[in-house]
Amino acid sequence: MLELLIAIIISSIALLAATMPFIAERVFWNTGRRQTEAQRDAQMVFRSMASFARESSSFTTGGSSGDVTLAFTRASGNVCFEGGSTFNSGQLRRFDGACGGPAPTILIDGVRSKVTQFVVTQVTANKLVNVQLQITHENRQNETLQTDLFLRNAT
Amino acid sequence: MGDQKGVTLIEVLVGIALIAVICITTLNYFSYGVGGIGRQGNRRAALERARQRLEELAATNATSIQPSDTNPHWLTCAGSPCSWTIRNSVTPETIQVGTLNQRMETTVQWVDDPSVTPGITTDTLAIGVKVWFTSDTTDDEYHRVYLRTLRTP
Repeated sequence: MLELLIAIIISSIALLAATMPFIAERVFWNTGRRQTEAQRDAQMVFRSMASFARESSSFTTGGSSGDVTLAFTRASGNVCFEGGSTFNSGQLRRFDGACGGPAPTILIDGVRSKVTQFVVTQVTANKLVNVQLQITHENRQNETLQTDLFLRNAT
Repeated sequence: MGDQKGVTLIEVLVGIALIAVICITTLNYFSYGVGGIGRQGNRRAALERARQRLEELAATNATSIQPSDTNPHWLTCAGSPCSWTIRNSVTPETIQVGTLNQRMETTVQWVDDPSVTPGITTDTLAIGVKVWFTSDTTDDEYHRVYLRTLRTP
């Protein structure tokens, strides 16, 4: 009986000691998952923007710091990207046509992932635009990506 | 006690010790996996910076990045939009990748594309961009991304 009690006590201590690293590992795992998903979401937005930028002859930027627009002029129809920290709780949308038009495509949903920073800077007028996007995933993990987009059909 | 069935304290302790060793080993694998996710995150950020450089090079006037001979040359950018400097030796730049300052190399070299101008060996520019995502600047796929493209002048 005494041996059994000692074994139970030692096992309990060992289990408690082992619990902390496993909790820490779970935190690490979730951090890594959020990081990966935040970056993936940002990359998907960049790929979408790049595909339209290639076909465009010019771009315009507008909005405020929390609600930024980036509109591309294309022969086959204009496209506008709108997003930011104050736009529909951190959404980023693509409108086929003018900004704010009907039936947008939601690229960042503002729930699972949120846009915390969307900065568009002209590098060369109607030719090269710099885009910085910071995404927060599940309100915890911030990831920032930036790239330039070249308008191949720039006039 | 000798003919009684059951386990002794020593056996229990040995069992616990074995479980502890297995747990620690498993945790090491978790840590390695998490480290890998972190490196992959840096790699993605580096990939976007490399892509950004290719976009800058695509947008620039081709005459400003043409080397004087068929050897590899290194490009550096100053200002925005880029003002290019061409050198014939390795000239790395330092750029921000995520939160870290990392090494970047941009190369340009004349190559022959038979479909562009047959018979002329300097009709196409081969552009390469390397961006490191680790502090170790070993030139391989585990430490940097490498994007390449061709551009006709």
